[in-house]
Amino acid sequence: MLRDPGEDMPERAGSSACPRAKKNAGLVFPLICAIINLLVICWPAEANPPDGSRRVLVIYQDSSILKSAEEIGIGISRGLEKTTAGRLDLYTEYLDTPRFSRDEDFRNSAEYLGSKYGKLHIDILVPIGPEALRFALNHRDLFAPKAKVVFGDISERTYARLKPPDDFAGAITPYDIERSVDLAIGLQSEATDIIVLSGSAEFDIYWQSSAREALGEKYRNLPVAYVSGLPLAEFVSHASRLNPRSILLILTIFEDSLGQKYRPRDAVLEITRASGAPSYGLLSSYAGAGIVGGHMATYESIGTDVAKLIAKAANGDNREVVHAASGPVVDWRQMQRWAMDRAVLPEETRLLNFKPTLWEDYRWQILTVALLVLTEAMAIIALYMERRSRLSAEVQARSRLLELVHLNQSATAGALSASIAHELNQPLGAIRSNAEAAEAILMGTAPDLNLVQQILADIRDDDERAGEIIMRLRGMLKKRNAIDWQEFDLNEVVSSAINILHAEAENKQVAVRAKQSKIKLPVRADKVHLQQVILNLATNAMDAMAESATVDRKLTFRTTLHGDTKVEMSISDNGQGIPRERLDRIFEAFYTTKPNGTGLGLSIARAIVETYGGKIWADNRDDGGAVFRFVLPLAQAA
Amino acid sequence: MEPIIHIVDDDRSFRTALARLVETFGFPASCYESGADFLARLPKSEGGCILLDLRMPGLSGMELQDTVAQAVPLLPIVFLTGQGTIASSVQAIKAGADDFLEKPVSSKVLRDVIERALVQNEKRRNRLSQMQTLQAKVSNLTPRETQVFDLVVRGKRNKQVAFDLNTSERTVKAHRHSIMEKLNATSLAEIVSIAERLGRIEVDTVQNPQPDSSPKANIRPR
Repeated sequence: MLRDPGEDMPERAGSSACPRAKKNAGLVFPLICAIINLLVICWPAEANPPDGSRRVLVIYQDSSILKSAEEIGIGISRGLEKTTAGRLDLYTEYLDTPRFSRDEDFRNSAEYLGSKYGKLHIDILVPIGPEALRFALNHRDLFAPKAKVVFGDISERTYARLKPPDDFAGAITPYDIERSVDLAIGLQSEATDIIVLSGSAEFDIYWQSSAREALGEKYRNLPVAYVSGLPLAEFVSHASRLNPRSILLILTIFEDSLGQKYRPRDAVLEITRASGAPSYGLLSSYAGAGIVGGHMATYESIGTDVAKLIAKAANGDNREVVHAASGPVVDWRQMQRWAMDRAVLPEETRLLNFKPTLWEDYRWQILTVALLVLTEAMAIIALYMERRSRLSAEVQARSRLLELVHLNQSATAGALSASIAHELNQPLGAIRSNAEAAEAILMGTAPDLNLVQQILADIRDDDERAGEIIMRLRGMLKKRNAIDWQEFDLNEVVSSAINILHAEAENKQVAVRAKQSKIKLPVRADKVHLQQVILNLATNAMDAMAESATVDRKLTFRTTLHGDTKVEMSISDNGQGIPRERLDRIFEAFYTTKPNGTGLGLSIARAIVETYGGKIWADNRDDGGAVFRFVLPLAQAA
Repeated sequence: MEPIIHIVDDDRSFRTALARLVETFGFPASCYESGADFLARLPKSEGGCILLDLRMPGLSGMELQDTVAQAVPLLPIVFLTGQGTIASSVQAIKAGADDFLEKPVSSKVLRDVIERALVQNEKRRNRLSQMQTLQAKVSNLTPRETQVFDLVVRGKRNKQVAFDLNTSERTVKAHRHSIMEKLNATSLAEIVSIAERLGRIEVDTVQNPQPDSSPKANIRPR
């Protein structure tokens, strides 16, 4: 058991400990089987192969489910795909030596293979692993007596031990302690010392002596300590006490000082899990078992090298012994665990379990998406800015409108001031007369106190009346900086507008009538604004009737529901009516037919009504005069 | 005869207050809520005056004025105006108001105005009674005498009158004498004055002189 059986022994059970192996097996193994099956189906064993094709029998030392065998198989089939060595007829056998390694087992296998392949004339025999090579050396006469031999997965030392004949070709797998340590020093530039672990088995001891030869007591100025002869638990606790600046090189542990046997990979797993320092190894089966890495050949590259030799052997050349390509192998997860810099790795490093960051994987996608998001964000910002400027323009426009409405209010108040003053004179005159009458009564000889009391009550009532008139005037002049939204009955506003107007209507000898809807007509708006609309329409109507005979001067206010969702208010007069061609223009600003008009009243009325979602229009009445109407949304429907 | 102050104003409170004040002056007051109300309840007494609101619904003060002047010509009308503007005052006077009052009315001004109006009323009543006396005298004249009277007061000479009436100058003289006696007049000027006061002639109306008229003939038949 010279060729590091341990290299693969752990794999047997280790497949459960190594999820990656399992995964690969799941993906790749069926593929291999398929290729092999294909070959087998195409050229059945009992049939003579067509001219020029060669039969190749690959004998693996391990069972077919081990990672090493599997990967080497992949390497061989990939390597053979690339060669032009004619048709190769590939057969595969697994010795499963960890379980069947006695001489008797070997003999039985050889006899079995003899009966299986005896008539087939195997051209090339490919033993993989030291045990397979030993089997081939001792028993090949039984099943492949004339075959050329190409071996693989043999260490330098095994090769020296078994001394295969010169006509054997093969790939020797290098296990390079120095370069593994060099890799470690490269990754840990601040390392303080090197610790080398090895078990108590003969093979372990052999590895330790190899290491002593390679590293000595001091390697590249770093002290080297050799730790061995301990139970596994001690190894674990020893490793756990290490600090991260140490380099822990694990050779093999097949057996500890208590005689307990291990699969090296399992032992390595336990140690690396607890280790306080980054661990390194030489065997590629350790990869993924918690070591940072090492300088090693991968099984697949061994397979590829072997495939090249098989191709050469098929072409007749058959004496070459090469070293399988090896190189630094590093586990990315462990690099991350120890926060190591990827930049210091040699270029040819094989990085295992490398999970590129999203950025590395999807650079273009990310850039594209980022660009899209950026573009979109800018578009959104642009739209938002535009919306804001539009909103502020709207706010500005609205505040202009509010100012305009206020000007309009003042103008209306001015126009109505004479009537309002007259109206105010009534209660004021009454108060004065009453007061003077009371005074005179009290100065009389037998004052009628009941009368005086009555007079005082009247004075109080008239004072209230005067107050109400002033309140109305103030309400009419109320300035708005923002719309005061309220829900109210349109009829209320009509009544208050009529209150304001009635004195003026009297003055102009206009009879005012109101036909208000019996039910409430709730609308949402600013009361003062709607009142202004009504005042504008009504003063307009009264002006239109200035030329009419006094008996005809009738101003009619009417409110009603308009459909289910709107309320309608109309103001009709008995004036001249509106010439048809002007009907469309009368709501335009500065359009006026009156010598003293500003042309703003109706345009402001329209602006207000539209602000509250309504519509305003004018028409001529069939029996003379004009009617102005507006509709507003019913508040409950909104 | 006790004068009554008639107050026509649509504002109940105002007219009540005004009536109270007027009553403290010692005059009875009577209130009307509109021109129509006043016309419906025309006062029987001709003593007093009317305080009429210039602005009322229905018949306005101005429109009422004519009707009232015809119905009760002796009662002076005092307009009550809310706005003391020149325009409204001029309008009121033009419309035949005897006076006007600005609201609110002060007690003193109201009293003055009422007293003035009552004096006016007194004068009108006196004039009317004089007129009535004169009218009675004139109506005592025989139809022939009336004819002579009308011609004489227009400045016709006896000869002309005789010619116009197709009678003799002597007869006209007799009529003139009878007229002077009946009218209790002593001179031609007196009879002319009576005729003028009774409105039987117009004075100073400018008309084209008739071709056959005398240079003095600026007094013309109506």
